Amino acid sequence: MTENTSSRSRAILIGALLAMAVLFPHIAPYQALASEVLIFALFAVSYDLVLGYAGMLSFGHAAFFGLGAYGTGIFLVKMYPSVPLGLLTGLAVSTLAALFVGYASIRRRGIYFTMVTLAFAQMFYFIAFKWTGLTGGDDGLQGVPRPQLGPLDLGPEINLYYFVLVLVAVSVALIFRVVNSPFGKTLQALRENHNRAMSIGYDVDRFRLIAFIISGFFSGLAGGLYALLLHFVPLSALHWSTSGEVVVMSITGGMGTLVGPILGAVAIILLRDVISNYTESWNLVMGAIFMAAVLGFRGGIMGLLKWRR
Amino acid sequence: MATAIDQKHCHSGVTVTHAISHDDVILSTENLTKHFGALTAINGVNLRIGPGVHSIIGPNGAGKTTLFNLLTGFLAPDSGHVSYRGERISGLPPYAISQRGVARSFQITSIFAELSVFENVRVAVQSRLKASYNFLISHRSLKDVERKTAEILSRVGLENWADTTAKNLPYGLQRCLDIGISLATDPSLVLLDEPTSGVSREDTTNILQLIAAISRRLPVVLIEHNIDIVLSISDMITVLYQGVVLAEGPPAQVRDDERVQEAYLGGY
Ligand SMILES: Nc1ncnc2c1ncn2[C@@H]1O[C@H](COP(=O)(O)OP(=O)(O)OP(=O)(O)O)[C@@H](O)[C@H]1O
Ligand SMILES: [Mg+2]
Repeated sequence: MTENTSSRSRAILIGALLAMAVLFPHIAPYQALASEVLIFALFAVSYDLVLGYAGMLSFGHAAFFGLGAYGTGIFLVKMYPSVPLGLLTGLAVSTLAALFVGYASIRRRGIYFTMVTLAFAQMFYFIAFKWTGLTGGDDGLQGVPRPQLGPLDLGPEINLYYFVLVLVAVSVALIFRVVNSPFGKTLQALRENHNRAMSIGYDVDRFRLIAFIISGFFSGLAGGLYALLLHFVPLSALHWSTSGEVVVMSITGGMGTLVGPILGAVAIILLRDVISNYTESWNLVMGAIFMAAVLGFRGGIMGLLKWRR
Repeated sequence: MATAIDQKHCHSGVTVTHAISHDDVILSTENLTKHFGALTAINGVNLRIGPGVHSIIGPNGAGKTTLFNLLTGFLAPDSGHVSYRGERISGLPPYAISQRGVARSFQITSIFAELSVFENVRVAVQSRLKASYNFLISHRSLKDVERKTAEILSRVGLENWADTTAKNLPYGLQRCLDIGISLATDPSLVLLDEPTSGVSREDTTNILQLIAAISRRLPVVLIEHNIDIVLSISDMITVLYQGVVLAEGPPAQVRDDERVQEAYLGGY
């Protein structure tokens, strides 16, 4: 009975979200902003798998977002103008990087884990900064094309938006599946109690590593779409502040809920767009939001919604 | 006696495996030793665990929990080793030892606090399956796991608490859940570290009944401070004192042992 009601209310919620997503570019201040919101929503949901479900505070996820963006962008600029192949390249690069960073960091716990992920992300940032010939260095990678995709002309912003929407919707659905799978349930157990999870037979580090790789994969997809959206890869995609932003989205929205980080991404991106009309110190504002979320309303936006009910 | 048998087998070159199955010993240790800096927490312990309830007693700091940590891979011995069903398991990580059938509970309640009681047990049942790595199916599709979970919950008396968040359970029931999580891994040997500590008299009775029921199916190693409980429930008792086995035998024999009375029981 309750299961029926909850699955029906979930169907309604998903329907409403999709309807909003379809209408979104028509009510957003401009269409590219709508795409940006979706891209960061995917990034935040990918990140939530690691932070909210596996309990790992990565401060290096800019690496996977940025490498996805550069992988896609460089392929499209220098090799072959195909969107699917470009995105696949970005995915391959970011997934490999997640494997590598994950392998090196996963055995560490708490703040040590966080510092190792940050260190690797900084390393990728400096490589991109120095390797001007490949990445454009400080100026970013210019002139990323959006070649025709079969019958679909990705040139107009509205077309790109719906392309992004389909990929983001499918990805988010997959991540929902992951957190409600046997694997996802195991992640939640080891987040709750590392030793107990070991003592009932789980190779905790292996689960952490797989979660990290899945998260890197979807973060890379978000990055690849970002390169298409901007026609350009800014070096800032790899900057530590991008890692910080996704942490803030996740926590402000309510980590460990997937829906929360989506709301967090929507709120942060829209707010950034509004506030940047008035002030240059966006990071200061974001810091304040973060403090409010951590101190004032634990559980983030999702926590507030539950509390009101 | 047991030691004599062991030595005879060793000298005649018979493999340890044979000696063990012959003797009904499921787990044994040989000269197990663990130092923490200058402190020798476990000192040359030879232990043989067979069917029934085998209690480990000893004053605070005797090394009981350290012994469990050595048996379950949470600590590696400095010397000596642990054999389980004829295989050396010392040096293996905790999850590998669990996968071989050794389950344990912890002295300080160790559960998945934010998950439901049902999920606490379900995830432990699921741990036996390769499907735990599957991230593309729904966890609800593992119907056998759900059935087994319900069965375990009723065995430990938590069938009416399935939807409760674990941290909201009354303390005594949290201890039962801790045992339930251990049983859910379908073990062949269960190690319980002070399962009744801090528990009300009424809950203690329940937990003791539960332990008695478990020991009819599986060998149980029990760390317990209450000497009345130990004397009534145990088939075998090992007394640890400063990391050394001070005495070992059936309850009546240990109770009457003078050194035990001096070193341990007298202190109570
Ligand atoms: N990880 C550790 N590092 C250093 N010393 C330790 C460690 N674990 C235990 N000890 C020390 O080893 C000794 C044995 O501790 P252990 O916890 O095994 O005792 P116990 O018999 O379980 O005692 P209790 O009845 O209080 O639970 C104690 O002196 C303890 O302080
Ligand atoms: Mg102890």
